[in-house]
Amino acid sequence: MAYKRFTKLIQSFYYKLMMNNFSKVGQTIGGAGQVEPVQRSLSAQTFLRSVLTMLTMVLLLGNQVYAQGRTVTGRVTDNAGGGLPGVSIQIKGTQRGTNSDVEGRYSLTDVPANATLVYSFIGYVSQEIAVGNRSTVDIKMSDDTKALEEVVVVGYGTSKKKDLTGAVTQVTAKEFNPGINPNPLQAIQGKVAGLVITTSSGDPNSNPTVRLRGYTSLAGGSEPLYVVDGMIGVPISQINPNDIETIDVLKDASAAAIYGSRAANGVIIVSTKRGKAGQTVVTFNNYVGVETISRKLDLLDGPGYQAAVTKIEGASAVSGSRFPKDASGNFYNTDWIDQVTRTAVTNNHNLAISGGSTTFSYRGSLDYIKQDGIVKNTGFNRIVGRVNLDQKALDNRLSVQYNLQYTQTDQKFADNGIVRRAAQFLPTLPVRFTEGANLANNIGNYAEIPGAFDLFNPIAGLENATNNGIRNTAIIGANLKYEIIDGLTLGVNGQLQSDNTNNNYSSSPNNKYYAANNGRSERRQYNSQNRLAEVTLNYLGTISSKTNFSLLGGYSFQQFDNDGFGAANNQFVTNDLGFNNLGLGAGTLLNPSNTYATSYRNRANLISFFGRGILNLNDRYNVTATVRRDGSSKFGANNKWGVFPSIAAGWNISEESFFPKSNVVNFLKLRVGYGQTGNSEGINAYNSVQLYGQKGTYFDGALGDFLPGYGITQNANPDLKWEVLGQTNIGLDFQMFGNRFSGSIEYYNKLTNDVLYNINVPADGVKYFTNTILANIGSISNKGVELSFGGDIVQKADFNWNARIIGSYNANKVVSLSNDQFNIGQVRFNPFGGRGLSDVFASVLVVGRPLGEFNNVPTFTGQYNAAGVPLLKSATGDKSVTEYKDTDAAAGFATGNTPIAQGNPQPFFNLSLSNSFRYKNFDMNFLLRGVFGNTILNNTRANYLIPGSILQTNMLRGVTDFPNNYAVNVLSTNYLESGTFVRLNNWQIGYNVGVKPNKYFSSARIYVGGNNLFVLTGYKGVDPELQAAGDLGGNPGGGQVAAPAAGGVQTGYFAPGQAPNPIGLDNAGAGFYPKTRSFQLGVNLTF
Amino acid sequence: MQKNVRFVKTVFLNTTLVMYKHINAVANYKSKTSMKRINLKVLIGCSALLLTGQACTDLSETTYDVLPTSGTFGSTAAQKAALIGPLYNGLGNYFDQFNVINTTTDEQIVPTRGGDWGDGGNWQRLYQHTWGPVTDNGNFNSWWSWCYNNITAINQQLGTVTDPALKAELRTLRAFFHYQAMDLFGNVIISDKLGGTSPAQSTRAQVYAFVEKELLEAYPNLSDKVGGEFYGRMNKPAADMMLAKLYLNAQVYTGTPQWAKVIERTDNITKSGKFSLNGDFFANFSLQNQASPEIILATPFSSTKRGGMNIQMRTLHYANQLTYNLGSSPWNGYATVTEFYNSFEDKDVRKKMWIVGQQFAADGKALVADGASVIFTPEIPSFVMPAGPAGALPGARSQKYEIQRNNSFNDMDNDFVIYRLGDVYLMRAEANLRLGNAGAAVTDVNLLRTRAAMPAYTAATLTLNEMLAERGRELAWEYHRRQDLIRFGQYTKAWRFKTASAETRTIFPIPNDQIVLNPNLKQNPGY
Repeated sequence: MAYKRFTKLIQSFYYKLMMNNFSKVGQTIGGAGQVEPVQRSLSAQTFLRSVLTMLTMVLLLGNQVYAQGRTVTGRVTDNAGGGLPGVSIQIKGTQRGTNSDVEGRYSLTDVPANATLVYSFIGYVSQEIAVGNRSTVDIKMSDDTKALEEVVVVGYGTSKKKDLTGAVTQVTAKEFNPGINPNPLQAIQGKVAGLVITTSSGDPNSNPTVRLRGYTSLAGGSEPLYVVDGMIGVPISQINPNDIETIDVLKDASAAAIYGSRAANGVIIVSTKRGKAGQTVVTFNNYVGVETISRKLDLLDGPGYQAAVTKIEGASAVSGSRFPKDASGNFYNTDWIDQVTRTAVTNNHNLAISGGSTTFSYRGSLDYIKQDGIVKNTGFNRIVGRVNLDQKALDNRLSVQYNLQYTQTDQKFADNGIVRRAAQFLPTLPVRFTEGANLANNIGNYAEIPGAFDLFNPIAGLENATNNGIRNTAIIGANLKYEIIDGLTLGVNGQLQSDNTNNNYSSSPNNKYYAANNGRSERRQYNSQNRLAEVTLNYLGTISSKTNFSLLGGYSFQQFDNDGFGAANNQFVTNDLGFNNLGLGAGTLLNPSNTYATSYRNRANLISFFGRGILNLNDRYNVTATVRRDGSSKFGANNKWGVFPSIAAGWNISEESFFPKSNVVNFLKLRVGYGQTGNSEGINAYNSVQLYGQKGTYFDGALGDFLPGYGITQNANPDLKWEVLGQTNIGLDFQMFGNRFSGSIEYYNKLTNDVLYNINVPADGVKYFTNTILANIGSISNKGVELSFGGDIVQKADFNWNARIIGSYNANKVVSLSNDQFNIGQVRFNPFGGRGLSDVFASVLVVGRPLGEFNNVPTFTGQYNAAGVPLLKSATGDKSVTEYKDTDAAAGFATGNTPIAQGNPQPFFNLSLSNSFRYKNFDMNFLLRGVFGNTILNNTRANYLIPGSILQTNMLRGVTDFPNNYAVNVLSTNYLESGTFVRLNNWQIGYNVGVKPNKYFSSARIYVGGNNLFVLTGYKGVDPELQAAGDLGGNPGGGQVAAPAAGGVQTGYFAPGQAPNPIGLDNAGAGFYPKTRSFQLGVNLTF
Repeated sequence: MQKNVRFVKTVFLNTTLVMYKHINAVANYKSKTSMKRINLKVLIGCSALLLTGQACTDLSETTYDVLPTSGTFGSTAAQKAALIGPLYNGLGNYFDQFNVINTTTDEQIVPTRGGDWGDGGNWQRLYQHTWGPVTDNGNFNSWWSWCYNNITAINQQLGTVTDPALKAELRTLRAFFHYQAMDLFGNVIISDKLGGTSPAQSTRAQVYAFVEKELLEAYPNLSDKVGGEFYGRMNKPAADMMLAKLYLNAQVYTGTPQWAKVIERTDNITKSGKFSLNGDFFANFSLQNQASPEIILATPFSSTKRGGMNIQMRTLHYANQLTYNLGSSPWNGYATVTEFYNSFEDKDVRKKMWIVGQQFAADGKALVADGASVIFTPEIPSFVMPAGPAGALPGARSQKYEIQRNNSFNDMDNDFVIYRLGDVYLMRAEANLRLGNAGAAVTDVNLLRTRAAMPAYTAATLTLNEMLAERGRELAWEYHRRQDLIRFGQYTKAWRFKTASAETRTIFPIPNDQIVLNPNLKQNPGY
């Protein structure tokens, strides 16, 4: 009774929320402005609602067709005697069946007298029971070989877990992290040892950074290769997590080498859900989520700012345009972070229908998500439609899979400067002045301080620019397999992926924020086409029941086409049309510029031959050997083809006669493998040849005007090739206490050679004609240990507690930065940014040390001199100095002196602990994720604790603790902090509503949950989880270069494409998007 | 490439065909005739054969948006022009490089203003001559690359040029960059052709001789046209000017003075009759300065078509945005050193290049920033100054180049003047003075004194020191100062916020990056 009341309560609350949301949309429509996007979301919701209605009708009709007859009931239990829900029970030879309910009970009508029932459930051995004339059939499902009989996807095939020789981790849909996770990567965060997924931003349009087993590359590309249903190179953000059945992560070279020159960063294979023979299953999932800013910078408020200014600059400084008063003579007090952020709502509707017969099955799904960003005017909504069809024919010798997916994403991009502006803008100013003398300081209807450098009203920024985009991705594939003779299968795989993005930008110049922008409007289109055709032959031979082998051979052709164009204009008389009518701008006429129209197009081909042999001997010994030969048009003329071999062996020790038969360790397997994989994503088409390109403009005196000039823009490198990653992997898999616990330990040793880098060269006219060349140089090593251990801690009929701990340790080291031809020179990392801080770097790449390690940070003595300058420890002697001189760190590196290891931004250990509980109809799960032993440079804190600059920007609350005349921001050890943290990544509590299988529902579950409930950390900044890319940023395209905001002139060493992205740098000065905390309320329905 | 397209098509066609057949097969499956199954097998087998048979392993690249140099681009006259035109684009970066180099002199300072312009001590090291080859590699490498990128680009085109006039012009341009490299770094590379091995390092005297030879050989074929199509290009007067500069500093470069040759070359320019002093001194630096008859060599700039002329952003105070109604707030950096400002007398027309005193908004209201009136004082109290007005306001700023009002771009339209007639008179005067022809020297200098509304020099008052000072006043921030100070032996002396530096600082270190890459390069003494 109590349960029912609770259920009703939650249901009514849930529906209220839903209804609220709908009516809110309606209200906005009635109001003014923003008509188009709102209508779109309304129509999508209306559409979903009508689909739902139709669906219900179909179901009602469908159920009435059921005939009458003998009824068989029963209960399915697991080993421990607990009811097993979701077990498929099917009458053999028919398409009729049912699923067990939450208590494991089931009921089947109209069962023929001589029927056989098939009980199946993933992870359990399927059973067939002849009913005879019984009307009650209770069965116990056996999970004896649970994990071992599971099949994992290994690329161009599958393998039983017990036969695996490589390091492959599978995450199934039911293990996915719950929460607001539109990107599949968020769903497996913390689930795979060694796969570090970092989300440093709360921006719904940002993608997490993924690094598998450390930093292996600089310019070679660092993201894993994503393979979705046989399509290679899918943008993972375009896949709907609700469509995914399994994600298999190929971690070591022996597993990944079958993908050759693109596999060095690991391969993530996504398999989508497919229809199964049996009853039609309809699922509907829906949730409403709210997100808030998880933690704010502890900035001064209005009165606090006045008090701080009074203390630092004296009471007389509290006057003038920084401290206006309203009509009643009161000071203003504005929380700018509050002004630019909001509580953001997310809505997700997911509907899937699947079913089929033994020869034909289907699954269709439609997913709609609308996620608002916590920064106003940002967010995205996405519709993903997917249809998977499976047909078997010709005595099951022929099988064809069709995969069709279309994704449309509407994005509203964030101007990452907005939150930074909000942090900097003075709390003593209002958004707008409405009256009085202050009106003179209203620029474009916003309160500003005219002529003040780097102070901009953030609301002006928010309200005067539009930056949005539409991305359409279609992935169409057909995968055909035909068993020509027994054991020999021919496969043909054809795939097409088309990815098109339209971005629009427009800003209005009549305010201080965008005054320099001239009212620029742009439209940019980016298209990519990716075509794949593959033929494989696979032979499966069985020698005995315990010994078999397989041979695979294949050919693959893949073609990548990219093209796009952009147009821009400025100086519009009206801002109403923006990017929708570029021709109306005066810019192209008054201020012609050759950046007003741009276009590009390129193509690359990848041709591959691959093979694999697997031998499973006597259930004890497994050997796998693979080889792939990749040829790419992108590679240099002397290195068009690369060969990527691997070999691995497994030894099932527990099968040996000498192995003690006990229940403590009932399965033990040793795996050893070595292989080579390549990394070539950092090479773009045409990178290896000498090119003419645009070389600025030149003045034609006869014409009296400027013309575009041509010149050599790229050096030739006929030797350009992939990076080579050699990797050794040793793994130990074990199961304990009758398979109640399972785990594995992996050790790996990776060495990347021929690391790609954009090296400085002299334009000597001998070999080089411009200043950089993309070349293979240097080595990086990563060694590590991974651990995964878990199982059912409590196994009771009505209570189950499953826990798993996953940890990874990685040691990264730069092994070499030169080869016989080149020396990489001094590569500076982690820029310490802020006003007057161009050309200040906290790290320098040093051979023998980890990538990004802080080693160029002067030591702070804790003292300031009379002028307020922090005193630093000099490199030689104990004398305090105000400034680091040439004799210090940088010179030390050049002369080969041992650098100072001041902290590694790469974590010593990544750990996650997932727990799931089931108590009767309740379930609960949570994931704790921790990062240990890393160092962060808190640049943000340094920028907002400068008393001498208090009139220039708002500051953090502690600013008055420093000497009043401390004015020059200085990089020092003062800002190095520990980045260790533990986060409650996600949690969820669900309740299975006790519905008896009826004609409306077969199961229903409601839940509450959320992300990022708390973070345990000693870190003083907002959040210790920071950008962790560590690779080289791509060349910033577009030719629009912003003026240096730091008040300095760019004099950095490196041209774009050479400066690595920071690791462990907290620099809000460069713009940021706060992380969020979210709460969710949702429902899963199965019909 | 067609093959590839055809191949992909074939794969898809075959796949489709197979699927079509398969559907038929399913439809007819009931009959279960083995014939059909064999047919299907044959079909699939054939498809596989087709696929592998056509499988091309051709990995050649088809380009669409770029031009491989191995192609035919450059064969037509227009294409040739598009390749040769931008060789002058490198000249446009003269301003960009030298506004930094000039901070090593006593006429320009980029003090640290609170948190601004600290930049890791970069500006302080430049000003105080405490730069290091590794720490400041970025600056040096940028200057070096500027010279040799342009030389290599010229060499690349020069080989294919047959027109003797154009050949002479490009050799002159190449000599200009060699001359700059030699002036900045001393012992550098002579690069006159493509290919070969790692280029060798030459002595400063050898490079001097090479530059002289190149200019003299090119000279007869150079055009004597001025302005129009030759605006901003190498012609006879530009070559004369470079030779004059080379000879003027010959003692520094080779140890042997060449004063008479300075006079010979400067005479060529004055006697050509193509140039005259502009009555309005500041018209040489206006937004439309291309019309000035005084300009011998300039690099054309445009706020939108050829950006880079942004001296106003570097020097003006943040609040000056309101004075000139600029799109963005200037960066408040460059100023002049107090003593240098004081070397101008108040009545000197040229002193108007400095902005001092109260600043006003465009509407005439006095500017206030951070609670203080925006008043520029020539006095700069210390190199590192506190935050707030005390650090933001000191220092006279420059408006020698007219500041473009109502400009929303950071770049301006003024062309940057590399050589002008005023300098020609001063060079000839200096040469005469050093040869003992004080009378001729006074005549030349007084042409400029008169324009500046300053009293004339006499043979008695025009000392060498006065010559240097007058060059400073006439040519301030035109980026000749480093060369002048070195020639007059003043560059390494102490001045405000700078102690005396070693004599070896008159040559910059060979950039560390270049030494790493070219084993033939030896570092300059003192580094």
